[in-house]
Amino acid sequence: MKATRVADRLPWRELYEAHAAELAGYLLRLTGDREVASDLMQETFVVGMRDESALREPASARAWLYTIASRLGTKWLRRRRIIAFLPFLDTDRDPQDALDVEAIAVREALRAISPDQAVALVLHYAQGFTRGEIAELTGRSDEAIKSRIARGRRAFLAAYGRRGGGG
Amino acid sequence: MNDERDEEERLERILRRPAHLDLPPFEQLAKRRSGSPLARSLALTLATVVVAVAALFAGRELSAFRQQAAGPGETTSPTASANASASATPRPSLPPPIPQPITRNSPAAQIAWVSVNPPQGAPASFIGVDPKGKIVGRLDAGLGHFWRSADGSQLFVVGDQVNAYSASDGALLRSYGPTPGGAVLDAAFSSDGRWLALLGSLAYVQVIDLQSGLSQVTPLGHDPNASHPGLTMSGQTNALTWSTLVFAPDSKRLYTIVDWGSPLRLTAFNVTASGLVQVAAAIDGQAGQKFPSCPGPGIAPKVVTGGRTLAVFCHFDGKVWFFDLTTLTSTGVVQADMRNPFWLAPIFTPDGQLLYLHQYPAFGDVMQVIDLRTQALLGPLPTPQKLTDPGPFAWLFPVANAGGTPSTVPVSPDGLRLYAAANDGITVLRIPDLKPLAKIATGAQIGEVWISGDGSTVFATDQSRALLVIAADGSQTRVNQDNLGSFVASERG
Repeated sequence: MKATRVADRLPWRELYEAHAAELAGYLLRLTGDREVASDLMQETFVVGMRDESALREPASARAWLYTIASRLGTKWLRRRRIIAFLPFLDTDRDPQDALDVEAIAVREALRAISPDQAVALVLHYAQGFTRGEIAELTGRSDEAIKSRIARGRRAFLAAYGRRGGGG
Repeated sequence: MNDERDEEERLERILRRPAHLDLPPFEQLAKRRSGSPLARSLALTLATVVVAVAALFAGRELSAFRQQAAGPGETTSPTASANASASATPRPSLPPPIPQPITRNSPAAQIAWVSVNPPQGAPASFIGVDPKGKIVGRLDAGLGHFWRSADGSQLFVVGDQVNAYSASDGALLRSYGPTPGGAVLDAAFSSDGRWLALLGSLAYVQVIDLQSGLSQVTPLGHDPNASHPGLTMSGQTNALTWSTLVFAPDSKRLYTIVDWGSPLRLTAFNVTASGLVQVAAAIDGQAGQKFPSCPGPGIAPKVVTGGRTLAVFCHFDGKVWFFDLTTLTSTGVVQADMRNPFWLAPIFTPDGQLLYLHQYPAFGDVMQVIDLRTQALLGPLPTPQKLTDPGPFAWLFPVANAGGTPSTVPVSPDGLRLYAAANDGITVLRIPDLKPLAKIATGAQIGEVWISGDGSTVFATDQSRALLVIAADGSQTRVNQDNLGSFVASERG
């Protein structure tokens, strides 16, 4: 009953209108795949609705949704790495972005580093979260996130350079 | 510290690329909530395994095909070689199509005009067929060369006179007076519909203002001692045997290309209310220019990349030339794979980003595509036929050896689909990756295809014996007519 009351307080339509675009952009940057990003964004809200009792403070709904989205994105990146070992399989047939050399270089560089590092980099450099905020989102210490970002940055730039990125 | 700050700034630049998605409506979430995550996960896993196994087989077949297609002893262009050496780097990309507005909405623009060529000297004609399959008009093909106006509503017939006929019923609408004489080699309409430019064998460009009816003739520079391999031109030693012309997309520039039998000459004109004004010319072998040349009469030009580049396809050797139009210099040549002259149909997408080259099904149904921005070539690859096939150009590397009749693969007016004639009907393919979207007219032996001005009706010739009229709902009308030839289309191939 308590969970239901919390849920009743959450205006999901408004949350969706307020944060769906931002989360979709985050997931698109993280996965480099439009269909996957759209899918994961919706899944983020579905999981949120299902587990809404876990949100103690409705005012932090945005950060909580980012937590869910990051978890789903990390899982997808891990699974993608396994699938990538299967020869000739390429799921990136999105004609809208499969077609941009720079986007491909970014996407492949993010996939070349660890999913945890990729999440931390995108949250920090693209979405503007501080190291402390990322630590809260992911349940890690500040030091761990600082290290993750530093290592991830070096690994990403090396991979990005190998793939011909020009940014 | 400075290095770290530089790295941080660089990473922000790289990762903060715009990332926008079209959002599904909120109501769609309700459907997802009712779905079982476990079932979805299992289905995804199963699908992944199936796709992987299928891909293993497909990849092996593809590898064999590409080795066969490359063939020994064929030449490669510097661009193509560069593509080959780049095969270890990230694959090239194709630009997403830019949807074009549908402008040919008039009833006349929906009427197909197709030639009928009886054997044994009987007079040839053009017939007009409406979307219901009714023959609505007929014109004598002997009147002259037929061209269709940019808006699709009129047929311009150029002989001794320039006459305009209604595409609705073939009625004469207006006469624009005589041509200067000799043969008219080619014609072009400006995209704004105002100008018709004709290029004559007696080395002139005639521009007609279709609003006022006024006409202006401008001499065209050419080599007076041109030789025409394999031809004798009695009494016309100074004539042009093959040349072409093309407007820029903004209708303010006209370019002429004089080729074959003489050094290639590229001339730029400003199109003004009072006529043409030559603004620049460049000639092979002069002022340090080195231009390619087509070994036979047959080139198809298009001004692309927003008016900055001229791309020209040579029907004889499958080469595609690129010229920078700001400097009138050659910027590259891409060699497409073409075993014999005229085996490829060149189709420029209306947004000017891609050139598809379709090898007619009778010669082996394959596709190539050239990204006109980067001059990268993809293919050749078998044209996909099954709706379950992936789009081949979405995931392939370019091949080292790269490289008709345009109406074997017309492009839809919105620029988003190709209609590829196949040995078993028409395959509708998505631009740019050629993912098959639908099959229509299944079972027919398709010759040529034309799409109505608004894109809602497909006309196709079946074994030259019947015209198939296919409506948007898939319903089909068959118009029995022997000796069918080709369509008169607004678009240049």
